[in-house]
Amino acid sequence: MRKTKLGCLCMVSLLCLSSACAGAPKQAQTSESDSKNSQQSVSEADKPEKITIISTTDDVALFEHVGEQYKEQYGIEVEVISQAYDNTHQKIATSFSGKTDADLIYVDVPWAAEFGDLGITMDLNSYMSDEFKASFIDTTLEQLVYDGKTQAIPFANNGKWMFYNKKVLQEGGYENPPATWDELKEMSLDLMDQGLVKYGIAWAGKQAEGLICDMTTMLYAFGGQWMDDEGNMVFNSPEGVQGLSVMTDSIKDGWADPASISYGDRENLDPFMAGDVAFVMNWSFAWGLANDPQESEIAGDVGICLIPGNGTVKSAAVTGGGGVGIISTSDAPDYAWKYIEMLVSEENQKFALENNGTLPTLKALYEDQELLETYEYLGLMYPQYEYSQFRPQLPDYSEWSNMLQPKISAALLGEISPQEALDEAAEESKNFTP
Amino acid sequence: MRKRKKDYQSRTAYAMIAPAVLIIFGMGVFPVVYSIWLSFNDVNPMTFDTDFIGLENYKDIFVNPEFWQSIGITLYFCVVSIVIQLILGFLVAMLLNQKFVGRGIVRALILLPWAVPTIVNANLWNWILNANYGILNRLLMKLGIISDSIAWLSDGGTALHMIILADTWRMLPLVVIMLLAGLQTVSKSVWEAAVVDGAGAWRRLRAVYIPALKPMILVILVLRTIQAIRVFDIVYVLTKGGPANKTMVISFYSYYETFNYLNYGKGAAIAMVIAVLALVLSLVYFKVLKSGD
Repeated sequence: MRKTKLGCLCMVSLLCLSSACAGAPKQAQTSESDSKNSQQSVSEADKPEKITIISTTDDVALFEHVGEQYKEQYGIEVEVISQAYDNTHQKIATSFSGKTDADLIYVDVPWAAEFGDLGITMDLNSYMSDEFKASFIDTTLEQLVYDGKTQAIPFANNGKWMFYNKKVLQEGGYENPPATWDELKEMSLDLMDQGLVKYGIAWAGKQAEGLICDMTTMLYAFGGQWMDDEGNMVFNSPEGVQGLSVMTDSIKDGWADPASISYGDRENLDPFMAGDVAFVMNWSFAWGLANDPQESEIAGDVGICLIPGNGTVKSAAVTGGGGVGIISTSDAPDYAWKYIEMLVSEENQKFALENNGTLPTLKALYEDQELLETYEYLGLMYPQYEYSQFRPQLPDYSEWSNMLQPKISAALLGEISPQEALDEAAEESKNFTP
Repeated sequence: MRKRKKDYQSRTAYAMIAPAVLIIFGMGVFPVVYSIWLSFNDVNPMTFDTDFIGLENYKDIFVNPEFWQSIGITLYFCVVSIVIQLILGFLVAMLLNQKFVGRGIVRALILLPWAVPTIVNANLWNWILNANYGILNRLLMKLGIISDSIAWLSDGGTALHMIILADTWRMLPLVVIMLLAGLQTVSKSVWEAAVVDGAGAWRRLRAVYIPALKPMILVILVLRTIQAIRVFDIVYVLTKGGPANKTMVISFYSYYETFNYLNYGKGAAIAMVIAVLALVLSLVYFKVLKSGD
């Protein structure tokens, strides 16, 4: 009896331990075989048999399309490994510690500093000619530079825009979209009074990266900034508090969808596409989705305007978009670079625009009259670039962002005031150095 | 001669179990030992070089109020979900133990949620709970229980309870099936004797059913506690630990620390704490439930 009892205990403890360790890293086991693979391909020839890209699911079609051209030209297979955006950062980090044999990786704008600092991505400066550099819209390339080194080449331009329901505004008697946040609030309340919409705006208020994006927009729209020139975090300024207060008050005062607190960047489009809210800030993909009659009730009625300012500041918007970088453990960086060149070519950026609504990063395409005529929104979206703002470029960006998210979330819930939230976050930000 | 035969036999036996031992060692023992080792080290996420720092990781964790908050949330989640699941599970099992037409079909149907993968279940509930278009709000409004739709996941308190609800929906079948199996061991004659002796329903429950179900309850408690302490997928899909960290359960906290911040050492240390917690709770169950024997 004693023995069986003891046996039971042992089993239970092993069960507890192994289940708790299910989340612990297992790189150690895989790394050995991976590094064997990579050694093999080095010794075989300079030219690899295949190159591998770690991508988000959003860009797979584009990467595979370019992969076919690449195979035709160089005879090298292109493999695309993809996962949802939210899992991509983790996938790259763990693949790198596991000594992956991937060559190219997707680099979202806020990751550039971290990847550069950890040495995940290679410095691409030596590959770029001045002419190549000058062909990009300045900010798209700039935001992927860390410590003077270019971590990735931008293939997709993005940012958040203000989308509005044209029909609702017209029916409500408004000819123009709002130019300031005060106007947007008044307009929202009025449209709600008239029974045209349930709420004015829906935020991406879920405790996630989208919340930091909305916060960036609001911070700069009211004249604040994340960091001063010396790299001190100064976002708890009166301007920052004012920006966040617009968000918190909108929920408290009922002119924003209260479910905003649980919406991510995709979910806040649902009430907009159902015609229940008049305004929404979102990424470029929202245009295609909101204009798709199968997905959206308001297809054809979607307008784009500059994100409002506070009167003094005309507008502000958060930048985004993605680049592709070469992972520093790649066996074939030169061939990987050839893929990048092909990916960002005018022809393939046009393909991405046509098929995925991905906005180009090359200046030339915004001057292409034919393209501007076919893609009306390209012209509509271009003016917002002038007001683009970066999220802080920190090596520990993910950790910093995860520190800030719950604080802003708590302010949206009304548990703490915007001032308290930003003060606490600014205090904790002192542990993060740019 | 006899000795040689015995040697041969035992050698064959060892050879036979070797594959199983290897697998258990590789998949079970090695990762556990490796995690324990990692938890005492500062691990470079890129090179995986380790730097022995003793109990530093544990110290860091224990002074962090966020850690204690997530332990609190996890324990709350465990207690509430297990209590609800046990009570509901018992009631459903008792019902399914009765004879009625179509009992076989109902018994099969009750298993369905268990067959749904957790991640699918979580996405399912994400839509059910959607503030504007979810079926839960629609249902409650139709029934006249609420007049305005409720943003279930936008409030810290309700969000956690909604996660418990989603977890219960999926886990209930397991509890029901196990209790039902336990009920089969109650022999009809004992039950009939109790009725003849004039025992009421409450008395029959306490004197006949509960003792018979005790071993099964112990198994359920241990299994469910270990599962509940590790709850992850539902949180990942529904709230990502928000709003304002109100649903930041310990395994999600460990995931952030390990894979988002790449602090493998600290992540491993948190995993160890989770393991010890599960072990201690299991031992308590053993003590309490075995004491009646």
